[in-house]
Amino acid sequence: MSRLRAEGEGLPRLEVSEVEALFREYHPRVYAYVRYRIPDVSEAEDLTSEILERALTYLASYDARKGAFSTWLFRIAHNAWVNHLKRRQRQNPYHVDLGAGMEDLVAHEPTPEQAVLHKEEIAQMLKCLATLPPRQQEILSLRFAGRLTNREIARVLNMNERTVSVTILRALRKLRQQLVEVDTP
Amino acid sequence: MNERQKAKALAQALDALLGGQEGAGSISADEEIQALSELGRSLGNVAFTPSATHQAQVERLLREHRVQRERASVKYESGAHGLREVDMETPTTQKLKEFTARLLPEWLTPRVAFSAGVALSLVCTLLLIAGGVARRAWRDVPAAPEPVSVSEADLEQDVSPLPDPSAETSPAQDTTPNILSEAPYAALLPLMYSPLRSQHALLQDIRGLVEIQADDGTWTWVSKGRIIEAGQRVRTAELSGAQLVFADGSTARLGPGTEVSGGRAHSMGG
Repeated sequence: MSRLRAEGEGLPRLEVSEVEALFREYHPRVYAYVRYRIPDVSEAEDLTSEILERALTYLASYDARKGAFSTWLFRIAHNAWVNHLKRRQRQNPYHVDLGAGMEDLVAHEPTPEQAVLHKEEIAQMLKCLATLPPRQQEILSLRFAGRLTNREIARVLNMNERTVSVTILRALRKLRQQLVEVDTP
Repeated sequence: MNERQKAKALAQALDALLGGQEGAGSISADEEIQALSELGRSLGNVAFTPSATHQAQVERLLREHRVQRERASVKYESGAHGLREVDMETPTTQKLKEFTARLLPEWLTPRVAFSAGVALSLVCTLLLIAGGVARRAWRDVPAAPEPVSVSEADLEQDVSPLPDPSAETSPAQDTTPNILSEAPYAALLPLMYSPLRSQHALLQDIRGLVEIQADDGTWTWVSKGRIIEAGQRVRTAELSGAQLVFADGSTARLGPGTEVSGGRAHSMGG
C-alpha cells in the first residue's frame, strides 16, 4: 500500500517522498505569489516559510478527493496573506522602489543591460499591480505567480470561474492602463 | 451583445490566449486582447529565486517533517466506517503492545481483563472478611480443654430449679455481654467446637454469683458464656444459678449453693 490512511474519514495520506516532491515543486510558486505582493525579500521569505510550515502541520487535512493539492496549498497561502495584511494594517500599501528588492528576480536576458531593463520593467509592473484593488491583485497573483488555472482560483477564493475570468480581464486592462500612464510623461 | 456578454466573450478569448489555445475567433485577433495576453505572459514570466538561506530553511522544515513521520507509526483499526487511523505511536509503545498481544490471548481484551480483575478483587475481599470474622471468633473462645469427666447422671441431677430470671436481680450479677450467646454466630458454635464438645460444657444463664476454681485453688467470679474445662469446679452462691450445656444437647441446671466438681454436682446446703 503506497498510501497511508489519515484520521477520521479515511483520507489518503501522502508518503513522505510525495510530500517532499510536492513541496519542492510548489515552493517557487508560493514564493512568487508572495513576492508579487511583498517587495521585501526577507519578509516574503518569512511569509513563505510560514505558509509551508502551516501546510506541513495541517497536511493530514488535505483530501485529494476534494481538490488538487495546489488549491489546498494556495488557500493556505491566501489565508496567510490575509493574516499578514491584518498584521500590517497600520502600514501603507507596499511601495516598490524601482530596481530595489529585485535581487532574487530571475533574468533570462542575454546581456546585463537587458537584464537591468527587464528588472525595471518587472518592478514597474509590480508597482502598478500594487495599485489595483486587492481582489484583482490576488487573482492576478494566483494566476500568474501561483500558476493556477481559473478553476483552481475559483476554488481557492470561493468564486465563480467566469467571474475569475472577467476579473482577470479587467485587472489586466487596468494594469495595462497604469503602465501606459507611467510610460507617457 | 451587451457589455456583460461582451466582457465574458473577451475574458474567454483572453483565457484561450493565455492558455495557449487558438480558435477564439475574431475576438482573439482583437488588438486589446492580444496586448492583454502579452501582458499576462510577461507577468507569468516573472520568476523569483528564493535565497539559499530560505531554501535551506524549507529543506529543514521538510527534514523535520520526515523525522516526525519516521518516528510515528500508523496503526489502523477496522471499524464500522472502514479503515481509519486511531493513534500515532512511538516504536517503543508499539513494541510493548505487540509484546502484550503475544503474551495475552486474543479474547482477553482489556475490558474483559479489567472485569475479571474487579471480580477477583471482590472475591478476595470477601474471603478476607470471612477469615477475619472466623479468626476473631476463635480468639474470643478460651482455649484449653482437657476432658471433662462430669457424669451425665450427676449432671442431670438438678439440685434445685433456678428462680425466675425476670424476678431475680442480684447486685453481683455480671453485666458484661454474653459474647458467645449473643453473637450473631452463636448458632455456629456447636459446629465450631465440635471436637471439644464431649469434654467441655458451656456455662450460661448465669444469675447471681457464680465462681469457678482456678488451678491454684482460688475462686474467680465468672461472667456469662464461659466454657468449663475438665476438672474445673463451679459453684453458685445463694440466690444464684446457672446452666451447663453439654455437647449432646443435654443441660444441667445449677441451683443456688451448688458446686460441680470433676463430674460431680452437689448441693452446699441452703
